[in-house]
Amino acid sequence: MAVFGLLGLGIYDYGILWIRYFMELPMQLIIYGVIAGGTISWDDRRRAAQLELENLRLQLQPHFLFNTLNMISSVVYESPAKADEMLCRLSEYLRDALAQHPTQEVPLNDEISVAKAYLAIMEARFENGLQIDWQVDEGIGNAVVPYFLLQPLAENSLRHGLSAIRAFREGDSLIIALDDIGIQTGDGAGMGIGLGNTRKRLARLYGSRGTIDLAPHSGTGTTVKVKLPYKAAV
Amino acid sequence: MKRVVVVDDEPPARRKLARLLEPHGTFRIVGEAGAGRAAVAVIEEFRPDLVFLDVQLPDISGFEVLDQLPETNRPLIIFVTAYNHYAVEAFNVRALDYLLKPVSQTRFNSALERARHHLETRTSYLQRFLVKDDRITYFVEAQQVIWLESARNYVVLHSNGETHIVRATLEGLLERLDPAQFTRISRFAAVNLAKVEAITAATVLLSNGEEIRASPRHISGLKSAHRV
Repeated sequence: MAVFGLLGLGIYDYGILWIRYFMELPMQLIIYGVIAGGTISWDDRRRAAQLELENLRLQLQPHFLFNTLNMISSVVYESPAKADEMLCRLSEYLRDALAQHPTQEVPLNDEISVAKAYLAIMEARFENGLQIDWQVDEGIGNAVVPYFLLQPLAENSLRHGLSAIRAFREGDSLIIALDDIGIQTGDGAGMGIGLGNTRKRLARLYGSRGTIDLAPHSGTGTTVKVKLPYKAAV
Repeated sequence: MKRVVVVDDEPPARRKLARLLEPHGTFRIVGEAGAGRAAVAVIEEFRPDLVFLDVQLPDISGFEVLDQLPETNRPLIIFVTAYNHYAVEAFNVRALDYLLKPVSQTRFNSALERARHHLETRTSYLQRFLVKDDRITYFVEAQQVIWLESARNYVVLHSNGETHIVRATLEGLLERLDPAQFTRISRFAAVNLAKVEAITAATVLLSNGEEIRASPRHISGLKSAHRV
C-alpha cells in the first residue's frame, strides 16, 4: 500500500467482498465457458480426424496393397496384359479408398464395382478359380450404402468359401447377403477387420435399422445378411 | 548345389521367388509349400539348406513352422512378407534375413549372398564313417558308400561288395551327412545319390546292381530333386 502511495497510484478499494463475488461470477463463467468450449471442440475435431485416418488405414490395408503389388511384379513377366489389368483393378480399389466421403454414403453400384475389383485381385493372388454368383436386383444400384461396406464383408466370407453376393429390396429395407460354402480357405487369413466393426458402424448410422445377421445356408455354409434402410441416392 | 524350399500361400509369389533365384545357378528349389503344416513336411522331407518363408500362412504362421522344426540342423531362414512389423521377432528366432514384398532383384541378391557366405562357413558334413570292428577301428569314405540300411540301433553301410556296421540310427547319421549326397528312400534305407543308376515305380537301382525298395513319397521326392 505504501508502495502504491509512493507511485501515486492511490489506494485500491476492494469494496464489499460478498457483493463483488456476485458481480464477478458471470464474467468468470463466460471466460471458463469459452476456454472449455474451445478445448472440447478442438478435441472433437481431433477425434474426428483420427477416426477418418483410422478408416483410411482400414481401407488401405498395407498388407493387401503390398501383397497385390508383389503379385503384379510376378505376373508382369508371365502376362503383361494380366499385370496391366491388375494395376487397373488396384487403381480402382485405391481410388475408392482414398476418396472423401463427407456423407458416409455412396450408391450401391459404386460399392459393387470396388468389391469386384477386390475379388479379381484376390483371385489373381491365390489362383483359386474364384467364382462368385452376383445377384443384384434391377433398379437398386442407386440405393445408398455406407462407403466401404462391401469389401470387409467379402473379405470375411472369402475365408469361408464365398459363393454368392445378393442384393435386393425388402419393404423399406435394403438387404445385402453374402453366401459361403463353409470351408476354411485361409485366403488372406486373419487379417480382415471382421464383422464387428461393420456392425458398430451400421448401428451408429442407422440405429436399430442397421443390422448384420448370420444364418446357416445350404448345409455347411453361412449367409451374412446386412439390413439397412432403403434410400435412393439424390 | 544348395537346396532351397519356398513357402508362400500365393502361387505368383512363389513363382516370383523362383524367378529371383534363376541367376543363382548353385541354388535350386527342391520343394514348395502353400501352407504352414505342408511346409514342415516338405522341409523335413527335403532337408533344404535355405528356406524362403512367408509369415502369414493359412493354417499356422511362419514362426510356428520354425517352432516345429528340430533345433539342430535347421535350414537357414529368410522371411519374405508384406508386413514390416515382424522384423524384430524374425531376428529373435535367428532368421538370416527379412525381405519385404515386393522384393527387388538387388535386395534379393544381397540376402542370397549372406546365405551363400553362411553355408560356406558352416561346419562341414561328415566325410567318412568311423567303423569299429572286433579287432580294429577304421574309416570308410562316405563317397564309397552306396547305400545305408537301418537295422534298429545299427546302420549297415553297403559299399562295393562289402558291408560295415556302425552303431547309430539312420536318422542320426542322415542329420550329419550332406543331404545333397545321401537321401532317404524309405524308412529303412538311404542312398548315395551319386550311385543311383535308375529309378523305377517302387525301387531304386544302384551302381553295384542292387535294387532297393523305396516308398512312393520318396520316389517322387527323388525325381523332383533331379528334375532340371
